[in-house]
Amino acid sequence: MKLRNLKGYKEQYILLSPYIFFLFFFYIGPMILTIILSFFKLEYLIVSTPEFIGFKNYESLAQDNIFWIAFKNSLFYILVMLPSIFILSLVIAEMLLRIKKFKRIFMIILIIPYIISYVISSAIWRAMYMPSIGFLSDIFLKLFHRNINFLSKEYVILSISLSHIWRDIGYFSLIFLSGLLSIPKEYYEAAKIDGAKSRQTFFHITLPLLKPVIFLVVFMLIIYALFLFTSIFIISAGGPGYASTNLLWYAYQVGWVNYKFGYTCCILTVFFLLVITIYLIQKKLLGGT
Amino acid sequence: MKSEKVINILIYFLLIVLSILVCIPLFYLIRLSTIKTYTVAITDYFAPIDLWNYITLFTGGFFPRWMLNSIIISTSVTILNVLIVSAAGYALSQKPPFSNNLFALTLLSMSIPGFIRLVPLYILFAKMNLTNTYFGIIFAMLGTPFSVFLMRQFFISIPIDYRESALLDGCSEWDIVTKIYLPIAKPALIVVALTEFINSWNEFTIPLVMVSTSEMATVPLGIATYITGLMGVDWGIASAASVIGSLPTIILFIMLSEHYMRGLVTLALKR
Repeated sequence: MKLRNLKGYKEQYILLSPYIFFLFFFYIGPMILTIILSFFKLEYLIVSTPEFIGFKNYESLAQDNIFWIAFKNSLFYILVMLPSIFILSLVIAEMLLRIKKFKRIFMIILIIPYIISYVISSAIWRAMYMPSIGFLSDIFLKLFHRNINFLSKEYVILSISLSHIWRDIGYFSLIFLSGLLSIPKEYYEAAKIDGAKSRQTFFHITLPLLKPVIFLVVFMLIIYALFLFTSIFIISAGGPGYASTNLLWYAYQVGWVNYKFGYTCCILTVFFLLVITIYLIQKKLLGGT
Repeated sequence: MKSEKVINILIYFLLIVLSILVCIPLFYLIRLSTIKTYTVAITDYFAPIDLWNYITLFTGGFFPRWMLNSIIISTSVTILNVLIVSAAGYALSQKPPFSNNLFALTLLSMSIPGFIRLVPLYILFAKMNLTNTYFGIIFAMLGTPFSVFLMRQFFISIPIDYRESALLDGCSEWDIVTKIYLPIAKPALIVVALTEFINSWNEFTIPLVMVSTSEMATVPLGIATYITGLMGVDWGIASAASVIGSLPTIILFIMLSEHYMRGLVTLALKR
């Protein structure tokens, strides 16, 4: 340790300096500015100067019906995506763990949807969901003689979520699989000798040892579900009405379509607080790091 | 033993069914791209293969330019970010003063959406006349906190003895980084480089607000304009553009998949 103190940390700080620049100017700085701008009226980004209006944006937000719809929808996306992707990925990871042949081929096939751009994966599903001529609508009509509008008010959030389930299960299976592989084999062998059933092994060995990975996956999935933007942009444009509008889509609309950027910043600040709250709740419940 | 065999067959069966289900949308995309939807009905799944869409894409319009833009942007972002991020990850793992604070800020920045920084970032870039430039788009994607986090977690797991003995042997800090740490970190670096390339290739929101001309659009932004355009969608053209636009990342991923999976496992083990 003496050696290290003697040397000082000059080199480390030289190596850190580019990152510190980007972290402060492109991440932390803009984040703080967004919070500050939420107390301003800002109509046009470049020509107008912000006008301080105190908590006015927040007051209008509380009475803004669309905001509350968007808020509720944001939570609904989590409710649909989190359990479905979590369970499917864990099951797939368990299956991949048990097989020996063709493992890599399955993994590559399952992860390809995750590799392609959000714009493209959403475009595919938009094409499939098109009323009457899209592939899924067409199949339903021909096989079951039922005319389903996947982009109607009732189904739109489920349809968008399905496109994400399709997209993300491969990636999360891979994360679970790497977690499962990191559990020492001896534990399972010991359990087998003690005569534990496979269900017991799963609940008493696999799940507890997988806890850090579970924490990571749950947090990532919540973030993924909350941060949906591109798929809404492509598949439904927030509609019909506001049926699939979430907080980010609403913030985008308010700013880049209606030019109320102060209000956008206000929505984003609330969104930011929501993310932090969820993180803290999850930390308390699951006790992760 | 017998029941184990049955379970095994069942697993293969389920995985095959699942793989087919996952592939259906992809096959549908490829099929659409070979139907001249300009004149043929989109539901005519058995129409003869027609490469008209692909030919149209490459003989006019902006698509070749979008590919070029995406290649320039993603390659630059990947190279620069790997340098920035591995240097920062290494330095943080050595725990210089304030590194804990920096790490906390990194974790915070990881969990905020890119969206929260868009308004101020846009104002800054517009005032500096950096919108609609390669420099601006590339610059806005640098310094990914998540990659720094990954590299730091990796470097921190390397035993300190390596470093101490190298110092005793008279190695400089630079030697330690380039001759000891970077070679060990190769699997993590491949994961980070591949993730950076894929993410920058697929990035949508930054080009969406930073780019307003067709010449400077990236592939995802260009495809989005095909699909959300006011004049209706030519699905054949949009699908062909999607197929071509997905090829670079898919090919790169398949080429590096073994390294990638091994890297991911290593990273999971180190956590």
